[in-house]
Amino acid sequence: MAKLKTAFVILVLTLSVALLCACAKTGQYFIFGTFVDIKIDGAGGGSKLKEVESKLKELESRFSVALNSSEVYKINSAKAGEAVAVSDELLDILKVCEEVYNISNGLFDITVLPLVELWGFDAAFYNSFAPETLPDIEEIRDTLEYVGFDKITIDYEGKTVVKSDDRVKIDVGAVAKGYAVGAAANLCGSLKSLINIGGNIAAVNGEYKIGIASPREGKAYFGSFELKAGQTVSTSGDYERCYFKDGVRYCHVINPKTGLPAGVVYDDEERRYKNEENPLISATVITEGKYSYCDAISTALLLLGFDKGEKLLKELGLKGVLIKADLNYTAVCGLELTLK
Amino acid sequence: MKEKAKNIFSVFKWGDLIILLILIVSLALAIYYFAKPQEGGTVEIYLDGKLYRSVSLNQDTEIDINGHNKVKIEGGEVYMLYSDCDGGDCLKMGKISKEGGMIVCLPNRVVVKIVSGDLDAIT
Ligand SMILES: [Zn+2]
Repeated sequence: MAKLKTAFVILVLTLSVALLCACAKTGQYFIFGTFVDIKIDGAGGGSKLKEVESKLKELESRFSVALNSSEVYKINSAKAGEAVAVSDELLDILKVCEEVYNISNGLFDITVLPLVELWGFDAAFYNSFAPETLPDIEEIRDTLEYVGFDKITIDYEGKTVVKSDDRVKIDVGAVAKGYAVGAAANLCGSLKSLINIGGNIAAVNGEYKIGIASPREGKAYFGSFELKAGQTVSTSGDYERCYFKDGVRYCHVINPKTGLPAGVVYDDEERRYKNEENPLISATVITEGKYSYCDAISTALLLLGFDKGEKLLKELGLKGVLIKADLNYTAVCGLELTLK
Repeated sequence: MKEKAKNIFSVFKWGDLIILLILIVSLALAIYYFAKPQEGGTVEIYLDGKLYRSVSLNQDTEIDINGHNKVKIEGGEVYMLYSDCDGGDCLKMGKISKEGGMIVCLPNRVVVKIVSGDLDAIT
């Protein structure tokens, strides 16, 4: 009888430990040049985590600018007129890119890669450093000649991409992270989970308290809101992947029309780059599902600026937060933001 | 069924059940307090994608990561003090102090980030 009692006690204790520990499985990886944080609740979370990780790695190998086996690399190294076969997944992404290109009057443009490189940003890497010398304005104007979404032709039925100029290069980084968030969210199915790929976040079957990163020093974070089940959020800011040179801030989001980073202008008289007066420095958008779209819209907003960005959010009926350099902000379409 | 129930009660005395209950409750509390994030942010250090150390941002300290990297926490700021990586990019990253802030040493597969005390994630 004593043996039975001991066995029972051990069983109950083991079960309670197992139950308490099984409530959340988390995984952290470095994929897409950024930090990936995944939390899955409930039974089967552990094996689901493995599935999600391998899916994310597969997507990275497909969409990476840097890996010479990727589909994007094949497009970038193709000659003009050459039809490059692409997967359904890349076509899904390109479709969203085309949609947001049109919505943003051409400001969201995946063909900016040559400019991104010219400014010294490494599309596949998190850290960014000021180059020895900034690109010359003439160099930028020359590069603009082969930047433009109209320089690639997408055949959605034939599943090919054709460039009109050898030098055209694309980077789907501004939408692939959102796409990957969606793929991970779909894999989680009915499990309660939180997916975070470099600030592109999805709430799956649960509600989570999300903070908007503080764009400038002073606060731990700017404010917080509830991300409801099925919703996704993305933020673009001039404070991520940026460098300073002679007191001017240069961020990795490049305007395809001017060739300059968001929030930067060129002074023709003084012949130098300057930061805009009180530019938009952080753009957050929340959508119901539509993960890639959400990611792309946040980039488009940063390039559109405060007034046009606010107008676009209202037109599209999307919740969002836009913050200016003086930290004045607007929360659009009824988003309840609690300031920190 | 009745027989079985009777058996269990004949094996356990009320005292046993109370001790068992106390054990389970204290275990639950212990896990809750260990897992509970600290106020004012926590510095998490990841090595090869796995949590290596987790320290309060308010606690001034120096953390050695297998002799390859050294992270310094001082006055609510975090920076990479030493790294044997090629190029030493992580050493040039400067200090981080805001939630969501991150320093990456890609060659050594080290990620240092500040996570929030009261948030689920930062966008
Ligand atoms: Zn390093």
